[in-house]
Amino acid sequence: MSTVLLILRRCALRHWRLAFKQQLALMLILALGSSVYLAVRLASNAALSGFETFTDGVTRQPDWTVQPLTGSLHEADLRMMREALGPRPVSLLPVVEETVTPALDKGNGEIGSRATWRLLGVDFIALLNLRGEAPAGLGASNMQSMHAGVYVSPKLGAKAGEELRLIVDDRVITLKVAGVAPEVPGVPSLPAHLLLMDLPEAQTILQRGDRIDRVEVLSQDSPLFPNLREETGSLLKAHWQVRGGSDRRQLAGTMTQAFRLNLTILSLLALLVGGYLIFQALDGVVLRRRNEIGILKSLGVTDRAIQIAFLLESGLLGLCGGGLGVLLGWLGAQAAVGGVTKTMNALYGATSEQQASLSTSEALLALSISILASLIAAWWPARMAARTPPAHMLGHHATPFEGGTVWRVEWIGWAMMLTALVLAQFPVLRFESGTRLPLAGYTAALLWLVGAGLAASTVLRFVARKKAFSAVWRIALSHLRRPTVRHRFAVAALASAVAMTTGMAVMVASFDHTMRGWIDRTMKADIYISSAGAQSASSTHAITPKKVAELGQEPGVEELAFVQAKTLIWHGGEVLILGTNPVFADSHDLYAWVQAPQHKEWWKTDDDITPAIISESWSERFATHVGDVIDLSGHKVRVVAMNAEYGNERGSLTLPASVFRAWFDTDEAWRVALMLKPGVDAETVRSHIEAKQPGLSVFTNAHLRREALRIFRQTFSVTHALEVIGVIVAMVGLGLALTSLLLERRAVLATMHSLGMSRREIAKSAALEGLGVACAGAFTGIAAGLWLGWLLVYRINKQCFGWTLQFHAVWWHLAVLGAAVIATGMLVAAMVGRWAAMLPSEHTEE
Amino acid sequence: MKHTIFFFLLLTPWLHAQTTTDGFALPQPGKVFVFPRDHGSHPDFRTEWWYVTGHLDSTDGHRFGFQVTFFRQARRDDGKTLQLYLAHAALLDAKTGRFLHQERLNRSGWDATSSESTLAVRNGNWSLKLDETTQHLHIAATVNNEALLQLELEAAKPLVIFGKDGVSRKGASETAASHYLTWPRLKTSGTVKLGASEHTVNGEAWMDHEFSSSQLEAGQVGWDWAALQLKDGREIMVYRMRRKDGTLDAASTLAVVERDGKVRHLASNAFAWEVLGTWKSQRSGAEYPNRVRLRFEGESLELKPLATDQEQDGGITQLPYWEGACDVHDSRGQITGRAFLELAGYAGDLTGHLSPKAK
Repeated sequence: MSTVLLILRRCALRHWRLAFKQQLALMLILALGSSVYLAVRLASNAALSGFETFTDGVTRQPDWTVQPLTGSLHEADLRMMREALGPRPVSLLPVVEETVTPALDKGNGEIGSRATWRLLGVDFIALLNLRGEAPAGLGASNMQSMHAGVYVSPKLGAKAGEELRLIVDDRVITLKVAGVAPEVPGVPSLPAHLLLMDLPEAQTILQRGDRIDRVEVLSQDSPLFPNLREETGSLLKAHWQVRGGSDRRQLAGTMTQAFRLNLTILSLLALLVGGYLIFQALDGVVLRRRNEIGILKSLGVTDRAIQIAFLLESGLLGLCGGGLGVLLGWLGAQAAVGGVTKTMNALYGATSEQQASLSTSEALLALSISILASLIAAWWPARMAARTPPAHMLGHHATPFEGGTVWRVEWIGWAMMLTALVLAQFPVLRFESGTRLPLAGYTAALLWLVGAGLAASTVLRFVARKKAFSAVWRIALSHLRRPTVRHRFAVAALASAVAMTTGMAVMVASFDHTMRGWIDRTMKADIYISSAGAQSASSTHAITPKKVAELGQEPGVEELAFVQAKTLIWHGGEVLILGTNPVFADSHDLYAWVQAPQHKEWWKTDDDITPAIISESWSERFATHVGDVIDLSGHKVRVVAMNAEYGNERGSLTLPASVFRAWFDTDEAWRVALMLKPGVDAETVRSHIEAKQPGLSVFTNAHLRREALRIFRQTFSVTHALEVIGVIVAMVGLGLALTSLLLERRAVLATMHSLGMSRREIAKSAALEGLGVACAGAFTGIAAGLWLGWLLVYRINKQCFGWTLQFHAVWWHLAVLGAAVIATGMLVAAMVGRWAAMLPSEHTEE
Repeated sequence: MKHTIFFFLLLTPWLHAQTTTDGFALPQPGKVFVFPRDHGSHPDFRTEWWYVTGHLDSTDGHRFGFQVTFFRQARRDDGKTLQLYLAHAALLDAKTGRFLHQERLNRSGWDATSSESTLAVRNGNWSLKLDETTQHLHIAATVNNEALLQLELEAAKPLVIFGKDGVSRKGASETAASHYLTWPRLKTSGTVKLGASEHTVNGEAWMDHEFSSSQLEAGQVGWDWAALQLKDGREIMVYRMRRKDGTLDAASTLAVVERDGKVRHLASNAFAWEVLGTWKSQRSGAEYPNRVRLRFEGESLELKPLATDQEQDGGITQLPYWEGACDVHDSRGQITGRAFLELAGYAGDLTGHLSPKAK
């Protein structure tokens, strides 16, 4: 081991000192790779933890959560539950829950820009029986003191006695802060945007009567009742919908799983590109140090010691790069968390923005990834260094070293791409509650990216076929005709990054294109109205029938229609049930059919089976098809048609309004659409209603279209940032590769200079070599990216979200991308060439 | 107008005698009790409890003391009445000295309720019900998810109404009184499940049903109470109301229920309550005089607790008290019966909790 350390100190670290800038660049690549991964992971975890607090109950962790099959839970249900449970020691905690919005937060006019808080009504007195399992200090510390109003977290910054003006459903109300729930170690604390209220008061404020939304159930097994949890679950399941306490949290996890997975995979791209570059850089290092390796071997140093020393060096590089990556990742996460949270909010509902905090395990994970990537990349060069005979190493006129033969076999790349084509045909993996993982699709994407990178050398040789007459061109092309591993890997990194960027660009363009068509088809009303607190597709704010009637009587309104919505748990997953007036929707042709109904009046039926329309996401998620009869919470439902719906990926089922009302016992509207009389100005009506109804958000058709497109584009904002980072890493890699190559050729460069070649010509030759690499990378990348786009649009996206998109590529975007990559590549190469032309022939490293 | 004022002035004392200042009913002498209605709830009174204590012997040699108590307490704020249900359950395994107890609080509603027409009280999964067909009582209660009591109780002696003319006085003031109904001896059978072991049990219980609107009057800080079931067929109920200055309130009393069910009340100066020993709680710091001797009419009965620590810590209400199973020894040291002893107000003044204006 002492030999290894000696080699490390005398050789490796000496080289580090000599070629400090190059080592720094390598470290930065590793740091960038691991930091992007870490930043995205931290940011998406922070956004998810916002979700978790959103889905958290008031107790530490309820064993079960009980909800009605359809309709509402009433106090009579609670009595029935207690009777059903007999003498079992089970705590039942009824809860009402509503999203509310601070009225003072006017946002910036964009949907999702206003804060969404939660108002939770729980029985404060009953909570006292759960000491240690529920938030402390809720006012009823004994029978003598109870205060009306809401209890808030100290994190909200409000003080007892202050007043909060909130939008609840379609009303603006004022609530007094009764107290601030203290944070007690070991006791659940209130999330910042959770307002807690005593149940009867909350029921009054929310106009619920004796209705509640859910019951949190605590039932711990003990020697007295060894199967209490399971018994409780099965007794309650007889009449109600019962979910495990952790299911609620998992729901948020699975809901955002596809989104988070996409981000993670994208973030790993930077690491993949980085891996290529480390490989080629270390390969170069082995080459440049072959004299030293030869001498060491002649002196009796074993192959194993040399290999270990190289691996240790790269491990050290990985450690330094990873350490820097953790710091950069944490900084990046702070910047990214806003974007990720916003996107999750727009897509999935009220998650509160959390600070992206770094845990030791996350830091260690990023560090390990960096070290592992570095070790994997160094494995082959280290092996080569150890195995090459000393004579070969020491010979100044030995055959030029071109790197490992395996990496020069292009068929491996083609084979990977072929495998990717086959894998793309595999179906999605299905789990409980409709969760899906397109594992084959993701593997295909990865194989395709790596394969395209390896196969890109073919294009490199193709580029080099160009006939050249000037010496500058001939020299540049000669290097590309017999590309070294460093050439190949520079092309591979660039091709992978460009392919990924192209693929994502195609997906975004397809999404945008499809969305526009869908919006044109379905958004035909002049005015759209929701509660001012409705900031996402999952918001529960509703509009009362009284307000709906008032809206219908507005002058200028010709027709009014509204959509009702409730969520249900079906097959373990949350789904959206909608109620609409089918005659209105039909007369205005508002459905974008994927499979149109056989009968125009689809809502009419001859038997007692309810007709319904499912969205494409529902069909994909639950493998339900048109014509199927399904059991939905005790109701028989026949699927008569399928519509395209890009509003949510959980899946929706549309019922005729009369059926919805019968099932859910409510007349409250979720969204209201107004058709105006001819000649009436929509903007005038909008401002009139908004002035009159401060609890409502009113959008004109044009405004809502803009908002819909903005939200969908926002979804990809983080994605774009990751692509740019991937391309930047590849560009840095190109510069490093050329630096390494020109360093190896410094004797040849000096010879050429003595033969009369000017430094300018040497620089030009290097720039052309770089141009060749950039062209090969860009062309291969764009070509491979188009198929990747196809895979994302028709396979991964469809399998993840259930949305059918129309393939659409904006060609000029791709042309600009290619041109930018080639131009930047050439520029980087020219700069490196200029530097290399100045190199003295005996200069070793820099 | 003059007539109206005169009439109102005449009426005022009468009104005060009927209700507390905040409108709760006061016990009225001569009240005619109607059953099963009067076994049920009286929400027009501020405070009410159904208090079952007892001694159980299992077929496998275990001895248990148990308590299952349901309280109803009303609060009036801004014209609104809030009915709260408090409950206590406790179980002593005399063999091991292990004492389990639990307190529970719920507002009136789906999870805590009491019938106004019969005896049917529930608080969470704890319940006490009268089967009107068999006239048997049924108790179901768990303690801390560690013990389950499922008991059937049958009156071995008729119901007793303590006090004079149906009113049991607790102090000199007009409001310090209650209606106090008791089954002094209930034959009890059923099961006690302690952890994984189930015991078939038999024994005797005592049940108080008391309702009032102001148990304590100004100057009183607590009370000591005991219910003795003697082997000779007699029962004794005794309480002494303690005043802030350390003296006993004249309303303290000892009542003897004879074998035939007849009740004799002794005045506070006709019996002696001697403290023989105390036990200090490490949890609350309260020092309870839990070894006592009663002397009356030439009899001497000593109450010896089966375990010293039978304190209920009052985790929710912050009102710790000692309520425990005891053996009764006569002057020769012979066990002549079993008793339950209650010592309240040693961990703080109870005035604020059971006085007329609880706010």
